[in-house]
Amino acid sequence: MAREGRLTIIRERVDSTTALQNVAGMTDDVAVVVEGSVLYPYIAFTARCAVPTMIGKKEITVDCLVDGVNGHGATADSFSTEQMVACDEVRLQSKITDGEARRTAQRTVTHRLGKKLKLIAPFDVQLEAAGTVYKRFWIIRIGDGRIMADSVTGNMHPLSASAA
Amino acid sequence: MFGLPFETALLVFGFPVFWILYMVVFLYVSRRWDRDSATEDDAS
Amino acid sequence: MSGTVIFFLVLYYVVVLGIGYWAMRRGGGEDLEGYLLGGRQVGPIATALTLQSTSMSGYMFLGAGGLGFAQGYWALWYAAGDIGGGLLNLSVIGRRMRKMSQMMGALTSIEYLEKRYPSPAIRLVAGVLTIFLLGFYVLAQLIAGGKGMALVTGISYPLALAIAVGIILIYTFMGGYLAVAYTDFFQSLVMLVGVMWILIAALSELGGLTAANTALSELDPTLLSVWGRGLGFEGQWGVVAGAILIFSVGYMGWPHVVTRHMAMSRPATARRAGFWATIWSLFFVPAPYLVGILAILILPGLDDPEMAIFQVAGQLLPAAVTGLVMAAIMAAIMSTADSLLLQTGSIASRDIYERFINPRASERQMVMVSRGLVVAVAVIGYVVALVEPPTVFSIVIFATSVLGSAFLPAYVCAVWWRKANTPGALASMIVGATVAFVWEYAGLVNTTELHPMLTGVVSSTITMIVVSLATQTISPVPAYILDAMGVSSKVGPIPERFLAATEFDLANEAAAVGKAIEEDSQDG
Repeated sequence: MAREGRLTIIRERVDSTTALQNVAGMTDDVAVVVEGSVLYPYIAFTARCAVPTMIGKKEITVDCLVDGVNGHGATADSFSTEQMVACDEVRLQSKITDGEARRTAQRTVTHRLGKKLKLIAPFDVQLEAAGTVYKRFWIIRIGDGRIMADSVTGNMHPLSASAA
Repeated sequence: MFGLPFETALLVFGFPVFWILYMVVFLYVSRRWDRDSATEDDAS
Repeated sequence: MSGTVIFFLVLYYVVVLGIGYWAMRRGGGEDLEGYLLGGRQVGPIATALTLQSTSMSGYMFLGAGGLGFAQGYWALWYAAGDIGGGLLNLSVIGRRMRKMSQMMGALTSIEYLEKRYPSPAIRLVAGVLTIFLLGFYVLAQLIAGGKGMALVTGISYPLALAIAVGIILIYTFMGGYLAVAYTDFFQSLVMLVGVMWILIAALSELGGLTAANTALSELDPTLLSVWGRGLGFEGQWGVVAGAILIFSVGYMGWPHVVTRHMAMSRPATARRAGFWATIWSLFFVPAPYLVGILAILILPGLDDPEMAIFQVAGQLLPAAVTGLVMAAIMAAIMSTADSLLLQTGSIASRDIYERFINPRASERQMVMVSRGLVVAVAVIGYVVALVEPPTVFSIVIFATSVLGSAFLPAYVCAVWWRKANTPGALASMIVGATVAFVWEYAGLVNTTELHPMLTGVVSSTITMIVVSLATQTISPVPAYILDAMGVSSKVGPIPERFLAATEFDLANEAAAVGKAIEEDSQDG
């Protein structure tokens, strides 16, 4: 939860220079420049699951992030966070209530684990709310178009064409 | 061919050849889909 | 089967269980968790092996071999489509479906259909159809498992069947945890080697392919014909067309096939998977049919054609190898049955029970429903398998025809046709399933010489087109869906290399971020 203008953001592993280098490395002929960054909200949970196996219960911990904008859930690799002061950069607002997020997280973890472990037996999922975290996406202009780069994974996605 | 009548040989070898050609065309048409390995390694 | 075979069969399971046990004891918490949850890439070969290993099941070892034995080279019409099935699906639908399912946040293939064609009726029809037909597919695996076990151990079929069902249920209820991480790869490898060994042994026993074909033609020249034994299918292009369609497009109806598309990480994966799938299929799809054909010469007295491959293995392979290969095959069959049962249970609990009967269902209640259905399917399957077992071949063809006919237009038009709307999809699913079902049941294949798959797919496609166009005004496709479909074309002038690097998982974020940036730049 933001407290007095402090935000929790996921510790980045790819900074703007690296992201730019990655992109530049994929093209010689078009101008590439980092325009800025955007902070994207997720509601974070840590799920502790006691999964039944043939030799008793196994404890598995899963992090789950619920997209704050559209409410979709996804399990996540473990991540660390840091606090920063809220400033001018573009920050998307979370529109999902905590209750909705919790239900989504429960369902996502159960579904994902159940599927991967091919389980039909019920298992306990204890969810700990970890508040709202933000992930930074670098906005990079390529020629006339834009793409965004994930500051944690470096993965990219084009952005839809804007007016200018 | 292998002691098979013509139509059967066509069935046995024709379809695999067709699918190989299809695959080649697909790989060509989608040739830009291949990621730069540099970016992929950096990402993880 | 000899004691050596059984010994090695048991040894195989001991080793597999041992690997699984060691893996869990070792804790290896993070590695295993990472592998299981993060979906880390294991490498192209291992990925390809696991991708294709789901296709190794009762059909491959019993159905395909049995058809080859019964009809000769006619059987290869079914292989013809199968070789390209994976590639076809990946190339036509893979990437787009992956993107759509991400944008709409669908967790399962049936949820995906409901989100693309908004209507509870879609989910209900799709869910019920799939459960019903998955049940048939489970039946096929039970029969395969029971017969295989009876053959290897020498015990009676009813008892062997009961043991097979029992093992499958235990597997399902205890969690396929053991098979998942470390043994899938090992198992696939054993089967791979085993299938090739059986084929090569059969060929060398007969002095090569040409010699074998010559011997076959002396026995009965129609065995080499494309029209089947005794030219039974002569001129029946309608049946041939169906045979080709079944395993090329018929796969679209199977949830586990469709779900694979939804798990793709980025476009390059489709490309790579398409390549490996084809290479694999070129070798392994025709192999079981061929072994079945060669078995005509090797096992002239065979009374159950579907046992052809097992018997050839027993006869030609060293006992130890037979034991290991049989064990791997049995494990594959049980693993397939387990996956199918889990899917059936999951669809029943999430897509039917929670969606329509009890929206406030707790996870525990849903698991109860899952379990209940799994037990029901297993019991019904056991009874049918015992009392009047159909051939594995006929079951799989039937189930794939109905599912394929029902879902092909729905999945393809979901990503390719912007006018495909809910009434169109709903009607096409119902018509396709009904036509294929009735065609099969009323034996119309014989009178019309048209395969149920052919008539089913044609009627469902026509229905989708006609109904969608007729209802465009009263039920248009919602704008947000059109957006999701058109997202890639709205992307500005970005070099193609970047489009290839698109990470599907970021689709939603990209849409929101793109909008936010636009608004921000407008605000000044």
